[in-house]
Amino acid sequence: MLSKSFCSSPWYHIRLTYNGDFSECRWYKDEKHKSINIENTSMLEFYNSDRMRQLRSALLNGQSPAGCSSCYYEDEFGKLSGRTRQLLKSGVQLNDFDRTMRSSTHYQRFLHSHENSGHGDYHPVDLQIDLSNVCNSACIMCDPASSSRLHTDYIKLHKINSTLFENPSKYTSWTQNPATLERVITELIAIPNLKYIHFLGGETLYDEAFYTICERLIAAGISKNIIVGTTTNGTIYNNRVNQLISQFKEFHLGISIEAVSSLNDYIRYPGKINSILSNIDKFLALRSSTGLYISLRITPNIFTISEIDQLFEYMIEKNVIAESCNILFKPECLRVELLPQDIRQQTIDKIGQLIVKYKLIKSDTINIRRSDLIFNVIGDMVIDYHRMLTTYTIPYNADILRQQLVTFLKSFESLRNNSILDYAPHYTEFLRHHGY
Amino acid sequence: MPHTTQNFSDITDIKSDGQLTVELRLRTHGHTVGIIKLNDGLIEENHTIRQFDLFAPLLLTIDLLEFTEGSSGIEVELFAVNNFEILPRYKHLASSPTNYIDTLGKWYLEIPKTFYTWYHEVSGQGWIA
Repeated sequence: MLSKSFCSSPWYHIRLTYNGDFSECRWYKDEKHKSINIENTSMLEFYNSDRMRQLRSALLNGQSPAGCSSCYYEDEFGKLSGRTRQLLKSGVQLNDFDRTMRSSTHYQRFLHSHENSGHGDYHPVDLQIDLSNVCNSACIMCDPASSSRLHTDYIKLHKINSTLFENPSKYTSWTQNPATLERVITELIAIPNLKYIHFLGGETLYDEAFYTICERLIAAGISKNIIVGTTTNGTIYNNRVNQLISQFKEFHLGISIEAVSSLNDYIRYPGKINSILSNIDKFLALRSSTGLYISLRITPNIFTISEIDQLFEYMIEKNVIAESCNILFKPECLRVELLPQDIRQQTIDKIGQLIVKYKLIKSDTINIRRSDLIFNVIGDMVIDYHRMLTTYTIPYNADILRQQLVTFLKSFESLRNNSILDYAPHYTEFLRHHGY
Repeated sequence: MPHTTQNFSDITDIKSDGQLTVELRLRTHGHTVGIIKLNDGLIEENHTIRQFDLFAPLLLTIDLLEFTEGSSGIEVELFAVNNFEILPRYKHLASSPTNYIDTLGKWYLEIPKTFYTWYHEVSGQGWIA
């Protein structure tokens, strides 16, 4: 059915990745494509490239492109996928698909593409711009292309275990070329009706290119029409970003955090949870006086899932939602589905108790950024995780992956001189059983 | 056979009339005389279900001609479009922000554009790209 596969994102959104290659969408993954790079192609040219036209045609024909699989995977778990949220920006709702699709303000655009081999008669107004991998963190589930610090670690880790850890390729970001940066800024300023830019690092607040682009949009007098979103690791709070926040129509800040205990220090090394929580408080205090919207960004893994109830309590206490952008499936050995049965059951029980304690119900709120619906959004998330934990299937190769997990952890720990057992002692028996 | 949309062509083929189902439930309190209309159609029953084109604007009007001050009026218990509750939930969008009409003259609630676009906006579903 079309409702199971269609997405409107390619009609108004594109992504510029770290090395300057374009991607169809912030969630799209297809490494087989021939790259199209900002060095020789403008954003508007990419918007109507063969790749984008083929994607639009495939979606209109009811196909499920392989590059969209992460959204379909989240749909399967009943989670709020990127596809669902992108459809909402066209006014299309999955629970009333045919009628909202037919009523969509983008319907004529879909029809135009349908009759013109996927050609788009609009332009991107929702952009994801990946700036560089410059980052002061080296989270264990991240990849070297997204963190300069992890890139350095991976060079050593590859020597320890070349099967588990790839040798990271030499990294250059498009923002390192001042002429390219200037050209992108010029094009951004010229895009009519530009509505949303999501910047991704590395650590964006640590990246000069982020400030340069934002300050130029402000100087061009268009920032008050634009919503800016970005994700930070929560280790940085400074006056420069404070000054930017009030200059945009809205400023959406996602703060990555995996646990409210020291387990976060192990996973999001070398951040310190107390300092991060203190910075979150400072950002939260700005909500009432600016267009700042805050959400936590979580990517639960085999360890942090066992403390997710504490994170949910924190969200309720601070009146802040979390967005679970991804179900972690790489590195595979950190997947939630590898949980030992006893901890899985304890986690289900703890989340169940929260549902009762706070009388949480499923509201299926899609526009998760409404400040009056924060509690509903938290309720949806808690119930989604409860259901996911209750229903997931253990991978057929779980034992192999669990042994890989031990090798994976020990490799990192040999560089960091730490031990997971100090941060998650309840996993001792499980890890010992698999060779820790 | 239920309609199953497999591709975009199926959407373009959807018959566009009769795709808004409007349910209206009224309760009269005390003695009142009024003219109630949904678009151009006169409403004479307490419970009415009508079909409209998917893109039709909707206008519910109640013209109260007679009532007893302080003890009578017409209450719109429910005004729903495709099972989405519009009244009393969005009564603040009516010409006077109530679903209990006890003032002489015309009260109305207008959905002046394609229903789903209007509903997206009033229910706070976020920006359209």
